[in-house]
Amino acid sequence: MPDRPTADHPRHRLDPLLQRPVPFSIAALLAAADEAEFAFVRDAIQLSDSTLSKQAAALESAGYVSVRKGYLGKIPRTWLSMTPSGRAAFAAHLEALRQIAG
Amino acid sequence: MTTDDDARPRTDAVTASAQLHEAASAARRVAVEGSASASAWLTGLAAASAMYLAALGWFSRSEEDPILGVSLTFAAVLGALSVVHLRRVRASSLGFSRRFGMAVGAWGAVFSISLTLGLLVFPGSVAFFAIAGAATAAPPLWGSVRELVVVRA
Repeated sequence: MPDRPTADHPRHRLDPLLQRPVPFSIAALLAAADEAEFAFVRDAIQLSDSTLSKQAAALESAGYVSVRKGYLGKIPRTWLSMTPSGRAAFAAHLEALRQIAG
Repeated sequence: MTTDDDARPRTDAVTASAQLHEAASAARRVAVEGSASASAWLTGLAAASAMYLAALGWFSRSEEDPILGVSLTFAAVLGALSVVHLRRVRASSLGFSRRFGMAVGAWGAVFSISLTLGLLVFPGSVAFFAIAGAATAAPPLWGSVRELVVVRA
């Protein structure tokens, strides 16, 4: 028998981006929401504005998150939401985690 | 030698369980955050529309000024409720738009029918407007309870 890794192990189905802690935390919040305000995500995950911006941009580049900017009166607000492909990727990632956790 | 797998964080059973727990906690946090303001808005809508319709029952169709005054007060209350809600809401839980649309849509339908029947067929009928007020309040109250009880659970 050749000694090689099998591709059947659930860790091969983990999403590389979502394996990183901060993107996972952002995705976990957004997967449960229709939409969440930037400040809500920032406070919930305890990140700085710049870190959240950078990580949200990475998720947006991957097609997992969409960013909507708007105003409430004169106050600028940014809303984050998960795209359908992001939801599918997160669901698959969670399923792989469940299999690993047993 | 470093493989791609080595470059990623290791995910063993303990880490996987912790991440699953984090995902569940995040879902609960969003549900609690989103439901509070939505539930308050729907309860406010139920109370305001029930009081509005109940008040209309005390006026005959010819008493246009008081009807206009009560209607403007009702509109102002709805406007204030909406502004407070929009300023407070920071996250909406999954499926909220659909649930909110159903509750407000049902309210709109019952409210329109009640108002039309009340003003055209039962003007000045305290009993009709009291029943209409209760019927109109039911959809948003149901939506409010669903946000608080079902979504949070």
